[in-house]
Amino acid sequence: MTESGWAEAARTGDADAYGRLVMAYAVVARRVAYSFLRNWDEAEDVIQDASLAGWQAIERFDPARSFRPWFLRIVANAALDQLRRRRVRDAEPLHESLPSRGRLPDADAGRVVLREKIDAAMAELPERQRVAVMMFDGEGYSHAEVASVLQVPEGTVRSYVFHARRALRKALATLVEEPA
Amino acid sequence: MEQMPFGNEPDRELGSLIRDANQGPDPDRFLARLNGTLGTLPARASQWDVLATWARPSVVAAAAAAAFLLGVALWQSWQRGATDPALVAPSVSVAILDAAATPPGETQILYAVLEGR
Repeated sequence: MTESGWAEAARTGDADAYGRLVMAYAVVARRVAYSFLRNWDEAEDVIQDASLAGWQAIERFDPARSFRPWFLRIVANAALDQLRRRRVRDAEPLHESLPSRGRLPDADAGRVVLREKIDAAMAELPERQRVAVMMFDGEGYSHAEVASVLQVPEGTVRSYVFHARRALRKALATLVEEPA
Repeated sequence: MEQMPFGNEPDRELGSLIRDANQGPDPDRFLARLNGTLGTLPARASQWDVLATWARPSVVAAAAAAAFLLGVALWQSWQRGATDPALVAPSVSVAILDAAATPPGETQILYAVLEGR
């Protein structure tokens, strides 16, 4: 069965069909939620909430369209809600500390350092820039799809990607200048 | 990462680094948990159910308003009935008796009774 077939079945109340659709995009949805939240546990909770919200709203989904941006928009909204709750709860913004760097074999060390550098640079980006560059460069979404998920104009997405790339390149440039 | 920052194509090298940095812990555990949630989805509320949830109080409110208006209308009707001279005016039969200059005789009383029927 095609995606639109599963979607049509889900619309008519087939929970199994809906589950298949969500599972197909669960991993990327988790990365999108993490891009907003920078916390894997919260990102996973958001996916749980989004999957339930999507189930309640699936009747309004148009099966002629792609399920992925529709579901990711729900995920993005749930992540933004979670961010708002967190900001109310915490006076201080949450910045994850970098994992400690233990001694690693040389072959892995460079990659781990690079990953940490990217992760730290991503953490410093404004959340919408982070989501835009992750979806566009990391996941291969079009500007239009990212715009649909973030509910901003395409030009704004291009601007987000531009600024995010520049910041990430700057962070990586310092890594080249200061070899481990 | 030699592409222009405003490029229309994804930067594959940067994208690979971003994906690598965003793998997340234990995807299998995450997928298993999500699968469990999806396996026990609650019954979906249809649009009619949603409408019904807000329509029910509205119907009760409309019924209460209608009952109130009906009560007011009946009360006003009763009040008007109590004071309306047309309704409290003496009947024809009583008028016959009142119109008599002298105390009514048997014939007049008989007429009055027959008029009253």
